Amino acid sequence: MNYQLLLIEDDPIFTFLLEKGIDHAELKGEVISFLNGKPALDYLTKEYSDKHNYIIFLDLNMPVMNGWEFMEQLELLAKTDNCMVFVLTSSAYRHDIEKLKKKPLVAEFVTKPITEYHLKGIKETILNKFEKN
Amino acid sequence: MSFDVMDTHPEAIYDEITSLAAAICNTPSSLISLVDDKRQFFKSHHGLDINGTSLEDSFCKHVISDDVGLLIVEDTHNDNRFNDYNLVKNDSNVGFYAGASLTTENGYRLGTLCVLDYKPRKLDNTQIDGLQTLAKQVVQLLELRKSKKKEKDQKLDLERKGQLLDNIVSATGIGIWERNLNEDSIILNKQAFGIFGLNKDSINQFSTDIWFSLIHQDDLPEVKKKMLECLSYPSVGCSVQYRFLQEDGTYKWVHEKGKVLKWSDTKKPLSMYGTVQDITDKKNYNTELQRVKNNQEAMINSTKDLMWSIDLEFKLITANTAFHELVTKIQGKPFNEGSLVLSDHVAKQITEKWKSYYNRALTSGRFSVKQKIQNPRKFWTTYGLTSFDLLYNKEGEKIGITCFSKDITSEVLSQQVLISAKEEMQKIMDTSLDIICTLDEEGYFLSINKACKTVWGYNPKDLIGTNYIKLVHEDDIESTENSAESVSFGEKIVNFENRYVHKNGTIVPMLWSSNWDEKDRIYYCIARDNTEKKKAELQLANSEQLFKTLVQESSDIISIVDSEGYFSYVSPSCKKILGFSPEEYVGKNAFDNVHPEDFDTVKNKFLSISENDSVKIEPFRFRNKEGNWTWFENLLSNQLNVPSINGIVITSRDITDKKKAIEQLENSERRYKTLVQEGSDMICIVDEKAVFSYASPTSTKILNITPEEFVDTNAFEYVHPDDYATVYNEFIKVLDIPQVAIKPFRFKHGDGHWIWLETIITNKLNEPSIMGIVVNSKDVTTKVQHLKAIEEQNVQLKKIAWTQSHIVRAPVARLMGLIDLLKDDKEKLKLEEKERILNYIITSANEIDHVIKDIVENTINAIDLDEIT
Repeated sequence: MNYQLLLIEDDPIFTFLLEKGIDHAELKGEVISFLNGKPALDYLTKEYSDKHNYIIFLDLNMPVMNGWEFMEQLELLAKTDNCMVFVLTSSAYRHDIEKLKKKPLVAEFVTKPITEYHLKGIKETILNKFEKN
Repeated sequence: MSFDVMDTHPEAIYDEITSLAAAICNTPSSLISLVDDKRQFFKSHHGLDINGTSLEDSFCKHVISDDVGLLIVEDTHNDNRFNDYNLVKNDSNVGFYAGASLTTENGYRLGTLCVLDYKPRKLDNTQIDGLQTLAKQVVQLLELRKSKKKEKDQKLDLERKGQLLDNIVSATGIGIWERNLNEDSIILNKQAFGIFGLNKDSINQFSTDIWFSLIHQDDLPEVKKKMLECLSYPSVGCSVQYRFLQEDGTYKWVHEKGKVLKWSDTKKPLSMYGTVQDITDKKNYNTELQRVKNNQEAMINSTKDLMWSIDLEFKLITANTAFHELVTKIQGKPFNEGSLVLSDHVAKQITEKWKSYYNRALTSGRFSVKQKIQNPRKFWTTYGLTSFDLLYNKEGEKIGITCFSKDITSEVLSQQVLISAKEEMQKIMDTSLDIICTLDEEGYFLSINKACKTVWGYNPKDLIGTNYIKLVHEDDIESTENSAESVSFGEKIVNFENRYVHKNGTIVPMLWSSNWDEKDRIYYCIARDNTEKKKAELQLANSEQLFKTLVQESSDIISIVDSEGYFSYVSPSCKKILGFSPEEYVGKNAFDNVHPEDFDTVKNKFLSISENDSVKIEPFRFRNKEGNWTWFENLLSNQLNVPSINGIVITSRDITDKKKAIEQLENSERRYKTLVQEGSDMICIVDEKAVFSYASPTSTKILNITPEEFVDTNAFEYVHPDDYATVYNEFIKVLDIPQVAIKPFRFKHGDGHWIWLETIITNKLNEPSIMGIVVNSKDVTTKVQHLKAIEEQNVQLKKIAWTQSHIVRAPVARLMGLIDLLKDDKEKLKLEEKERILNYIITSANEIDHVIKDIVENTINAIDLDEIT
């Protein structure tokens, strides 16, 4: 079973920081970046397969298709068996993300900036889920 | 056969016969001798001075015993049958006897006609014939005598019997008459005269026509008819009742019975007799009876109650009009007498029901049933009570059932009302927290409600029959009895207090209201548990005590000054009240510390003490140690002439608190006045349809609408259309609950713009002094505007917060991330990567600069209130 790490983030600086962090934290898998939810969804609609594990880092405030809209579509597509979503938020102001909390696909909320320290914790969560058995 | 001739007196005719017989036979003596079983009696004795002898000396007996017609004894001394006879042996010395038998037509020998001589001799045939002829003559005479006597006896007997009959007749009051039809005359007895009202003179001119003329015209045809029948052979008699005219013009009812006594050979009636009776009373009685009967019938037929009777087969005997009418209403025609009273026109179960009623009456006798009748054509229910009873004939045999049915709707309904009233009363009594009870004149409980369980610990049944005095606390018995006595004299006692002993032994203060009902001879009482009130009273008493103590011990200063106001003594309480010790005051002048504004008043009052025993100084201000003013009320007592004091005693009371309290009260009153009369509150009264009946004067100020303009208009006319539904829904709630607070809504101002009113409405519809809904409204326009402003501001603040989180936070987060990457580099980054990071840092910093500028602008806009209203 291999991993696909999908980074959905419109801010190139954050994407850069995330890629570096993934690199430093030594998360396995193929890293694919998208600028908003739309291309990411197109990709998954086309390529989604039970043979892969999908780790999705999702920003919320994005043009074209934002994080909430993406989640609604993803739910119709992906299963919790092989898919985890880490929501990236830019602040502690969480009022508008309450509705995402209840979604089974969402694994964790991570407050930006995402650091190597965060990613090490995320790595453990991923391994707990997919590698333990 | 008896001739009744023995021992009768001598009669001339018989003496003539004996004399003739002696002459014929030429003998000195002759006798007519009659014999019975013991002796012989001489009906006539010629020439012998005795009128009879015993049978032993009788010659005649031989005629009878020997049954011969003639006995001749020629010489008695030579005949053995007679020679021993006294008449033969002794004096009289009878020597000869010849006797002829006195034989009746039927051959019965009565005795003899005999001749006697002293010497023996003979009779010739002529003499014998003569004697026998004379004997026959004697028999004839005796026979004649006998028949005469019989006739006389019969006459006597008839007279006696007639007398008896007369007595009987007069005793019965029956009159008797006898008519001679040939002569057309009449005979009446005394009673008959009385009954007919006739006298003997009028009878003399009697004729049938006159008789008829006295008979009542209505009765005459019947009398004539009956008489004609009676006079036609062979009649059995007649009986007729008619009215007979009296002298005074009235009619008397008579009942005559008559019979023909004698018929002629040609079968014509000759005489008639009969009786007459006065039946006026009886007739009148019958008339009365008929009248009563008619009245009864009228009554029975005019009542609305149903009455009918049926025989054992349920066939109608008779029924009253009401019954017939009802039946006609049901089945179109009434039941005929003798037909079955079960109708085909009603439901079968009804017929069965009636059948079962009748059968029940037959088997178990009298009973009544109550019926509930729901007539679908009418909308009400009626109630009937039907009673069944058995009908008997004179012999006491059951012959049928009488039924009586009565509409008792009004009784039932009034009973129901009574019951529900009773239930309601009971409910009131059951739920009352006060004790409600009745007592008889001795003080025994007749009834009591359940409250006694709560108040006294006893159940009603424990108390009924007990005397109330047993529950009264022993110290209160006397006063309670006195009170009860004055109640029984008609005094109505309200709020009488006493103490009762609870079942658990505790004392319960009671408050009584009692009333004596003279008619029922009952006390009606209501008692209330007075514990709470008593407690409150006690508390009040305690607090008064406390207050006194406080005032006396701490608030009053006693001081003594001389006539110029210099202190010679000050009580220690001054230290607490004013801060100075008594020593500090002694020798100083009291006026040094009086407030300048009060100085003149106090000084004048003080000086007036020289002319008075005591003076009261109204509240004034006195300086304390801290320089503040203490309010005092002073009472001065002139003791200048009392040697031990030699001064003016001043009692000073610190009334600062009181003064403050009064001021506060005044303030709050003023506030209240301001609020209610001049303030922003408006008070109105509306009815349940929201029509104003009152508006407070403040309406003018708040709404520019005068109270007069409000009255009789509807509150909803002023309510903003957008708020109408909400306000209406809130308003109607108050009809069910006491008070409703209505959130601010828009109300039309007199000038045409809207103002916001916050309103509390209170239901006082049942309060007699108001009888409406009290509306308390406050103008909250400003408040609402402020609230709106705050809401707007909140929106702005949210925007700021969002901006902070998304716009400010983003570049900061980026910077933090970039710095973190550089810090933890450990030579992993390439040179161009480091350059790239540097560029990123610059971009982010510029971004932050922009964001902060935006924030400042947004914030200024957000808090600018004036733009929002």
